[in-house]
Amino acid sequence: MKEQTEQKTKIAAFVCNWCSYAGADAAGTSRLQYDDSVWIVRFPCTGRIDPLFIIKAFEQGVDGVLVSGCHPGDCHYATGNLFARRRFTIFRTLMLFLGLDERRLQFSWVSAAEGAKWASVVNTVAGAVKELNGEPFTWAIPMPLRGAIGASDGEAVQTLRENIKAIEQTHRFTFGDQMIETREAAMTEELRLRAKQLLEAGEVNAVLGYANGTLPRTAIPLFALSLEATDQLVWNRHCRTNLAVYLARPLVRKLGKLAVVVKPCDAKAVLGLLQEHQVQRENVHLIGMACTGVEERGAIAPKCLSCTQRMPDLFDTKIGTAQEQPATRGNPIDETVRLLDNASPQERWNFWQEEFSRCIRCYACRAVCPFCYCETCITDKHRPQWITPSARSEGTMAWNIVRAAHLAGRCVGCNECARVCPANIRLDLLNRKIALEIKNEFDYEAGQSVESAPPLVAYRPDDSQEFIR
Amino acid sequence: MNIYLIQERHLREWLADIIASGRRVVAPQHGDDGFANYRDVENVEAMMFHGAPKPDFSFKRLLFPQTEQLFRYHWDEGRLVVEDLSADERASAAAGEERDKREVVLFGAMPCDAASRLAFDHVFLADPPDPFYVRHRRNLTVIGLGCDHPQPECFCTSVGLSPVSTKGCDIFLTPLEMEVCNGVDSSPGYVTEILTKKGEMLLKNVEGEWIKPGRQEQKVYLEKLKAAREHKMRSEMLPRRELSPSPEAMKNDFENPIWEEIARTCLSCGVCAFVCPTCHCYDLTEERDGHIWSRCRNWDSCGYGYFTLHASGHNPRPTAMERYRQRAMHKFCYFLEATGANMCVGCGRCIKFCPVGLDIYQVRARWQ
Repeated sequence: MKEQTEQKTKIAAFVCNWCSYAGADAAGTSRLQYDDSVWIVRFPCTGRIDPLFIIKAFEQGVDGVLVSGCHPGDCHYATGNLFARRRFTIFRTLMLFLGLDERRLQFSWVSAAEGAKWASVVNTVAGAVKELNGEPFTWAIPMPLRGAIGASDGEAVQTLRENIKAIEQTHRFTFGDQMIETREAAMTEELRLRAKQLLEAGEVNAVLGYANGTLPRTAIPLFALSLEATDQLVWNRHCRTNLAVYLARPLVRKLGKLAVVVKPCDAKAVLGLLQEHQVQRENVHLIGMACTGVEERGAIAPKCLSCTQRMPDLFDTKIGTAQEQPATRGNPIDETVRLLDNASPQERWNFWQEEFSRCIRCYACRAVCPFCYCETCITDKHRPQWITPSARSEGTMAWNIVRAAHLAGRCVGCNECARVCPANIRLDLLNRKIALEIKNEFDYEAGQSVESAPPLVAYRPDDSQEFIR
Repeated sequence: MNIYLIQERHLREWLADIIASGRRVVAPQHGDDGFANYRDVENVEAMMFHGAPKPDFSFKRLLFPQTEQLFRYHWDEGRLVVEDLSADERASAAAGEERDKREVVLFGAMPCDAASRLAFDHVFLADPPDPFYVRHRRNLTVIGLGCDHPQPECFCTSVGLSPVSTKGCDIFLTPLEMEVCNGVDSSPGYVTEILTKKGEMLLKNVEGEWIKPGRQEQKVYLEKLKAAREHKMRSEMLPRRELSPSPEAMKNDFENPIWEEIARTCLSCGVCAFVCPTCHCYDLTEERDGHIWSRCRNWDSCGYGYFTLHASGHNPRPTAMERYRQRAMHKFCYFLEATGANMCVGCGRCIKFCPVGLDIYQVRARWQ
């Protein structure tokens, strides 16, 4: 008996209590026949359905997930389903970008009166999932020789990788500007002077900037608490770290008012933290740097090639004068996102499985992210255990999906997560794909305004819902 | 100790035979993902010998997998059935992932990485020995290769090791200069030191006339060769002093506010511990896969806030300051006192991969 049920197609239906569950009930009382591969899980509202629930269902072996709730306007809690609609728009995009077949993750609005619609939605969804039965589907492909000592790539993925490498190669530019060192030296002087003034005047208790690192071509964060320490401050193209990440840290909060050196992308992160009420404007003095981009692995960082901003939007002091924007040098990150978009879902799936298989769960991506400020991260919660702590495929899948999903509409694209990943996982592509979708669907860009509501805690009644049945 | 002279092409034939016999050969190689690591070698002809990349991660997962199941349990008709995996080859498999039971020949281990085995032995072979570790250790033979590409982050010479150190190796290879081997053969040669019984067995199992027993003058020559190589490598490394063998000065400064200054930039991620060849702390978790539960041992990092969190909610190391101090003190004081050696082999990976460039050598060197 048990074995029989295990081999059957299984679809988890996550439904809201007030409409779709009642709709399913209505189908039952009307004696409507519908596919029995659906397992119904009842929630108070679609707004309560966390993407983690969907991830967990797939992890436990379902072949498809159906999420169903009230029609817009009918929500028992007035707007729960409107927030959910935005969340699922983004989550669905992310899952399709990872290569999940769109038939496996479906959405519908079914009201309490629509018993017949429920039966037909279930039949359609079950039919679509069953079409896929011939294709092998593994939510998290086991990697027997995980990560460091890894198996070799599949052929299709190899081609993808070669194309990605080609994009990197054609976008490899070095800082050719002869003047750059002179300019850096001048800005360093100006910065030190300004830092001294701020400390002397008692305007701030510390200046957070960069000092030369101990390895060649590196700069490391420096908290200058004294006038002498300001002489260690430097400004150059190796100042990569996004210092906004420190603003919400306990050891740093203790220091009181702080001056922070920011590049344009860092300032966007500060702006996001102000928007999310993590930082008080009066507690931070922003030293905006005229930026010409940073260097990664001996070349101009990919994120800097498409950046057109030379001065931060937000600053209290500025250092240096904005240089003219050089002729556009392309956008390797967007190009790679498009390349993956154009690949087949199966290729994308294999590509990301391999990327994630290298994950060692060190959580450096979380540690460097200015927006990962939660006191307790979901991955550290064990009751219940949503994300398995082991470095197994299921856990690394869940972690990387959830990390990206939690940053939706908040990530400002500083790409620190991808830079620090010791396993070179292309987290920047996930973040960028979501940012593009948010721009496209909700006409919103992160890090632009302190007053606007972040897109996933807002809604418009006329938000697009083409993907919902 | 026996010394042989082996030509590179013979080494390749020998490694190919090892693979053909069903064993794994793992060596530092570039992957398709552009990522240097200790990887399984499929094609011996194509593998790099000289100038192989410095792997981004050490090989510690061969001895201490990131995830290891200790036992499994499930309910069977109202009875709890526990499956002990300590004597079982399946243990290292997270459920559904088949464990590779084959013997592993690690070829071309960096001297720093090889030396890290000693730290693991101290911890996991102490009474009672860890049965999982014992098994992994039994299955692993380490062939070290003299390091010829010191990186800016390297500081093995500061912790009592060197680019020609043989600690932790079963067999150690030192490349000959071309002019020396030209008289013998056209393919580059390696002076091969056999350091353990296990190393001897590995070479003994292979028949062939290509192993030439070393003459006395070769031993003298080997010493000269290694001294010259060490001198050359040292000259290529960033100037870093030898660290004092006494931990007292640092230990006495436990309460010094300098620790807060040092650790203020620490972001409490786990990179340093995860890329470290000697870090061996782990966490125990219960995990479910369908109807089967397992207790798993996973890598952990003392940098995480949760590492010391008590059930009561109290945390004796509440901030990055206490945590970073613990990391430094464990490596250079406590472990040194307990075992006589630093828990650091100077590979510098923690410096290279630290998101904010914290340099543990510089931290330790403050108390010179």
